[in-house]
Amino acid sequence: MNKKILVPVLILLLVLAAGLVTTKASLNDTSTTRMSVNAARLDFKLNGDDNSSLELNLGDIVPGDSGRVGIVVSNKGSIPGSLSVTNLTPENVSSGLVLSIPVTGGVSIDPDDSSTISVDWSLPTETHDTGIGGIFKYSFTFTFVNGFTVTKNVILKGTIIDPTNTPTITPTETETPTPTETATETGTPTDTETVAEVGAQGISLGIQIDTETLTPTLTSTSSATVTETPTLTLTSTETATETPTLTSTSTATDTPVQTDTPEIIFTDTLVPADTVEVP
Amino acid sequence: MKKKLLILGTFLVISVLVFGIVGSGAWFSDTVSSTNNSLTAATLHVNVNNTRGTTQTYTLGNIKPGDWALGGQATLKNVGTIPGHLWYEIVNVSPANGPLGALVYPKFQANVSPWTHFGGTTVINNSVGVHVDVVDLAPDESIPLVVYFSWPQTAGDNAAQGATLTFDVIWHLDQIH
Repeated sequence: MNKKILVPVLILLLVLAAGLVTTKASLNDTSTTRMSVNAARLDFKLNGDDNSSLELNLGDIVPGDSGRVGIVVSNKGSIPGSLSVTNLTPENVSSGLVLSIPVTGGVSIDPDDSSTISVDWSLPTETHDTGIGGIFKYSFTFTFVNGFTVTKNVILKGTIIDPTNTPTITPTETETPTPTETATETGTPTDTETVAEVGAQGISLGIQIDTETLTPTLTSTSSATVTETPTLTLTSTETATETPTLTSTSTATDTPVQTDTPEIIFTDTLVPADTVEVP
Repeated sequence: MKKKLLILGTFLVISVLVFGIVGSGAWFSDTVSSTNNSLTAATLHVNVNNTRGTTQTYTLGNIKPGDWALGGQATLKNVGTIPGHLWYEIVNVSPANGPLGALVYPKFQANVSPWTHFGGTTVINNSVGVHVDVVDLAPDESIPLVVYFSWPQTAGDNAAQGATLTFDVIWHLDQIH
């Protein structure tokens, strides 16, 4: 046999042998299962607003003012969420505004349901000297949690008006108080004197007294921040039964000026919630 | 002349090796004739919930971070005549490289003792085409499997809010050699 023919034949036989040894025909089968996974959604609205921040403006307030702000939290997700209110951050710490949030956490709200979070605020009268005339901002963080965590901010802002920098308002009352008591000062006043008393609502009364005729002249000025027409209800028809405890150290050198018609001027915030007792 | 004989002998030896040893393995043979014989080939089929080859859909809704949620149960059965090895792979993930597939782990577990777990070591997006061995099944033997989806909480969970994801699990039953 020719060598040229034998070699290719040998190679072919070896390849066939290798194929038979390594090839393994086998059976197999498959089935398919399709899986679908949908993630939940967690979201909420503040007062119907989709934005990530809600700003509430209290406007101009004065010491003694108070109120309540309701914030409606609506669950717009597909699963319940637990609401908490945290991180009360004041931008103007000297404002003196007192805030109260009844609920600070653990409020569960179902999808398409809502809950109202109330924020009570007040500016105590005694905060006269703090933050007067300033703009205040408080930031709350509303956090909604259920697997996901969604946060939104609520900003409560406003302006505290300085009661002493507002225009004087002259009351229009024409009634004449008729106090009948007599002053007991023994000194000899030389001029009109003014004694200031601060009322519970910030009303300052200046009382002008004529010691000669013992008929006091009442003057009052008002500097209330009036965004609405004041409704003064001075009930000056009362009869003073108390002896005024006015004390004066002034020395009278002039003849007192007698004024027959008392004039009332308020010098401070006028919040007509109380009745001013006029001596 | 000797050279030709040598070549011819070599050829014969190799032929015997190939067709004798490797091929039949029989050095000796005998024949017996019989009548009315039938030849039945072996079969190997895998059923999912008593259905063969059909795509069945399981839906899991409202999954959220921190969940270990049950997606459903499937019973895999060897309805063939020979033993087979069961394994699966995940394919056709849609959307590919989506936010949900990057966060959720698919895991199968035998719903019989010893409650063996299969897969679930990587998120769905990274499980595509990965061969996961399950169990050997004898003819008519079955195994109930439950599928869980776990979503460990991460900082980027909100990106997958409301996202959807579909994928196929191909169950293979291969002949055991």
